[in-house]
Amino acid sequence: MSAACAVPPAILFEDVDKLFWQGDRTISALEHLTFAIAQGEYTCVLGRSGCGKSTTANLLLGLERPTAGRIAVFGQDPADDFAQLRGRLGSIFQSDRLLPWRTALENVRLPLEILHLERSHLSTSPHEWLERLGLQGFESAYPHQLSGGMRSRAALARALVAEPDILIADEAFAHLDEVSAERLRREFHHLAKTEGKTVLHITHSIDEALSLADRILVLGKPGHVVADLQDIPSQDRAALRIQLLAHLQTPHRAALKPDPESRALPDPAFAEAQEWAT
Amino acid sequence: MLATIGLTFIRILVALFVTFVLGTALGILAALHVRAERVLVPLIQLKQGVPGVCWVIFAILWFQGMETRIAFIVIISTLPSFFYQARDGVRAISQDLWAMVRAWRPSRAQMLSKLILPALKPTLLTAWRINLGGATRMVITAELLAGVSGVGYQLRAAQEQFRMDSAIAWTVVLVVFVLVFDQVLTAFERHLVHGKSASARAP
Repeated sequence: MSAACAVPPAILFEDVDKLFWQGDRTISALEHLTFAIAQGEYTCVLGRSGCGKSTTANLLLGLERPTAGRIAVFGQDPADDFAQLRGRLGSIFQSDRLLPWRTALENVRLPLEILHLERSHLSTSPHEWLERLGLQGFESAYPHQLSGGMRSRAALARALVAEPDILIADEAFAHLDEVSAERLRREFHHLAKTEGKTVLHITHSIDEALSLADRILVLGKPGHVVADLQDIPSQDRAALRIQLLAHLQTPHRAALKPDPESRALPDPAFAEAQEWAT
Repeated sequence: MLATIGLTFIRILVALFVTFVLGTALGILAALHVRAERVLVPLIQLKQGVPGVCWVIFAILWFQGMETRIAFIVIISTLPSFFYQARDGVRAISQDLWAMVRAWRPSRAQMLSKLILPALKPTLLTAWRINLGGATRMVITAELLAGVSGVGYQLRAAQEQFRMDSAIAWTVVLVVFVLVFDQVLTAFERHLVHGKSASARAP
């Protein structure tokens, strides 16, 4: 657990399992997934394809229920206390998920309409969010009239407009070209930090995680924490990169719970990874 | 003449509107609840197996009033199309959009008004198009067989009096109605579904 978690964590996963059934087959997406994220922390979840990253996001959003274990967002279960967390979670996904029949501005207004939030209760209006994200003049454009980068900006504005406490980004910039992605991830990071948001940023890009995160959780398959690296900005990026690569190369195996004290992997897996990295 | 045309068209549009509301509601229900679908689909399939003209005979035998008979015939003949279009339209909504809207924790009414009904617009407009011709045929048939007013009744009178000019004139009126209403639907579709009116464009 994070040292910052002396105060109640914003997000808590405790021994979470998630199974899916496909006919006679049982697929384990998450196995004993345990972590806590403090308020205001920017955490990247890094992992290879199929390690349960998106399942983690769906569980956190309350869109699915865990098979076992406990999930808490500000002390409340996101699935059981679904309505209590209205407006506290904002999300952006790999695809922009804009409603095609709404203009950019109407898409940004969607959370406000659902949450019945008035303009007077907001520090930044939907119009101002679009302007802030460089979409002035495109308020009345429909999604099919916008470029991929512009649609992502509109989706970002939609995630931020209701001023949620927690932002969940699920491979949000993965489909953009490198220049657009870099610009957008900088803006996202800046906005999240200046607004004091708690961020769970799911990615498969080591560089993205290193450039944004305060902390990086590496997931193995089936979803469990194989490494929990803190204070990322203060550490040597090249060394961290090698370390992360090594963790990601760790063969998929049964769940290995992170040691809460040392934050290091249990010895056998770590030794294996280090050996590979060198 | 105008009163006759107006009466027939009001019959068609009112009955179609009632079917639209009923068929859409049942279609959405079937898409969202498996149990409702298990009950509704066999009933719709049973209805489909009965020829249209049999429903006209049933309507004459079951109901007294002319308007009730016509409404029943139109509703029974056009309901399946609205039902299936609505059910399949709901099923076609991307899981990504469901998840995005659900993540904001809307009420059921909000889910309906913000996601389901707007997403159904294109398929329901198609159902309106398909049913317009069908409903016109059914209303004319009902008026022809059992009516005392409307265009169908006038067609029967023309046939009884061997007035070919009158029969052609009433047929032209019906064709013009269907074409004009189809154009109205096209304009509505262009305005609401595709958002073509928006002028802003990405560079």
